[in-house]
Amino acid sequence: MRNEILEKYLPLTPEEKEELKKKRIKKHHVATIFLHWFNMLVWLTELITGAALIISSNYIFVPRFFTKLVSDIYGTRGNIIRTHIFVGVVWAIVLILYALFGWRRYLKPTLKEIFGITKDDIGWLVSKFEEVALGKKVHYPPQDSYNGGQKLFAIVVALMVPVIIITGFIMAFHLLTPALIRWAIIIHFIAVGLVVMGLSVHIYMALLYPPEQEGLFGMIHGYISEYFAYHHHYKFWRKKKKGLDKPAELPPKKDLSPIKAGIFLGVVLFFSFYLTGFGLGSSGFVQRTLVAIFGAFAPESVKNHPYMGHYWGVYPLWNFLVFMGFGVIIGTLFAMFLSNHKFRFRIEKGDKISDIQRLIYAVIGGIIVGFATRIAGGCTSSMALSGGSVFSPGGWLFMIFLFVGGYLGAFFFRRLWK
Amino acid sequence: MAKYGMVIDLDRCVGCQACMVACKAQWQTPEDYFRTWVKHIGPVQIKDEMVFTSYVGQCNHCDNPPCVPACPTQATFKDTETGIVLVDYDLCIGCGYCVEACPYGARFINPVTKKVEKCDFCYPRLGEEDPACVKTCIVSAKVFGDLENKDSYISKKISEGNTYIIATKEVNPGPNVYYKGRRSKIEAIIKNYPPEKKDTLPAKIWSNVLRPFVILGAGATFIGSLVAFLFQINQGEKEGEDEE
Repeated sequence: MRNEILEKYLPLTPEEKEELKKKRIKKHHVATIFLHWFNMLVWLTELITGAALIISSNYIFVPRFFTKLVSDIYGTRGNIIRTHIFVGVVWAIVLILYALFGWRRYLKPTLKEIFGITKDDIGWLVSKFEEVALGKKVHYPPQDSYNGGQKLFAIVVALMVPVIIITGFIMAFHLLTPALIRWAIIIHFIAVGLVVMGLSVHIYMALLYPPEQEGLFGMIHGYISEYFAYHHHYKFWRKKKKGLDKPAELPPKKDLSPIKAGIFLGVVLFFSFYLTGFGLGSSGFVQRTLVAIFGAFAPESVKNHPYMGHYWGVYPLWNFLVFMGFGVIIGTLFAMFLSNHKFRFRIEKGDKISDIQRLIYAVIGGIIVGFATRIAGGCTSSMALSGGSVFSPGGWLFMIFLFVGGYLGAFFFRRLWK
Repeated sequence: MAKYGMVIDLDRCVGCQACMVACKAQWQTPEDYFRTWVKHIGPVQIKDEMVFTSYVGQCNHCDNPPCVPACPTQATFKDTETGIVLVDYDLCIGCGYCVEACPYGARFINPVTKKVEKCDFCYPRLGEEDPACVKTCIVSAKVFGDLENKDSYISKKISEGNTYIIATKEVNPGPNVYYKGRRSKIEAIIKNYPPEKKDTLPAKIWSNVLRPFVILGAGATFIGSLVAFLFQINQGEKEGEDEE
């Protein structure tokens, strides 16, 4: 392979052509492929049900026989709107999860690329126009992993999908005021209309336009031939060849100082009281989850249990602490992304003991602490933090003896952490 | 097939508002929201008469209801069996286009359910008993029945003459609630609460400006793709090879 073609987009010799055709290159990650086809199914369902819902003469945009056909398929028109809303909510949840968990790996690089429009992208659009409309023979400028046309469509989609989701939620759940719902309907239509404009070109290019055929299979199994990559996405090919496609690993950020963290914790606590009327707590979440799990298997014995029965009667999971527990998990994941940490399971321990030993000690300690929290009526967070912040004598007493117990315990067990 | 309607005899009505109370008790509408209303008018001078009357009003179940085309999902529809304008609560998204479109102000968005509400002639009671307001009226000023059945009491009431509808030359959606009484009373009602034709801004912008644009745009790209495909078939299959 010549080295010049890594620097410049040059015509290939027949041998190089054959060589590149044999090699395959990874274009799409499996998550992207899944999301793409999931999106296709959602758009298909939502466009059909959505168009069939709008049958008033002031708004209708599909022929009557179509709306009737869809109504017949779904039985009642109520079923159409329920399907439309259900699929839309599932779609929104999947996209939000994708955005949350795939932000660094998939979404951010993609957004960076599609919004980073270069001269070559404009050149591609101009060349395409000249080829299709004027019938000229053109030479396309080198492209990123998305070409100018794809970028244009992706920008429309990236901007319109949040609009569609927000206006959809406003309509489906009657949020805000009727005046805003009125606008939401119109904006929903416009946003969908803009995407649909690009959609027919997108489908034509992928399904029916021979030069782009390989791209379609790339979206099915993830790979394209290097020859296709070289021709259609030269910049992407060069990056892959030079190994520049992986995002640089950023070092994890330093921990916040305990004093700053304490101040922030106080602010969070204040707002927790202000907004919900409750302080923070964590053992209640674990304990209520346990009650719910036991109850799922043996509802009768949980009900009659002197301790657990108290919680079983009042919907164990319908509690502020449970929602807060889930909030903490989600918030932690957020913090992980923001501070460049990686998600991984690990056992935190001192150097002198093995993983098994650490787990045994943790279970023993956990039993003691868990028992103690139930006697005390709360754990460190609820007793010391929430109780202490409202000057509850029990909370302060707890905090004092927590430190006494902590120092005493450390005297005996600190060697485990060395 | 039937066409239900109502006759309200303003000469009998004493303006006691019992119908409003009965309706509220039947439908449990939130505070300050009513499906039917009694508005006191007067004393006002109409020509050379002094008029003092009550405007007893509700949904008119019009022949050409402006609220029906205004509803994007057609949650509001005119029932072909009974001629009653009904609301399908599954489909209502609470946008209030119909509220704006109604010339009589007969609709409101229920702040609890967030969906539209209005008189439906007590549809669930149909065939069993009269609507709550009719049944409760102390002077039988309200008469409910099938307008298409010539033998019905309501048809006889209408054929007696002196029946009017609340409509003007400009705005006449064909209401099916008729009023009896001195002509000057009806004129006073129309003068004080004229039926209005209203267009909502977003709906106007959509149908006049944006809908043609969106449909043209989507249609143009679709036809463009189709034309390109036909050209391509015409030229015969070519491999992506000869790009260089």
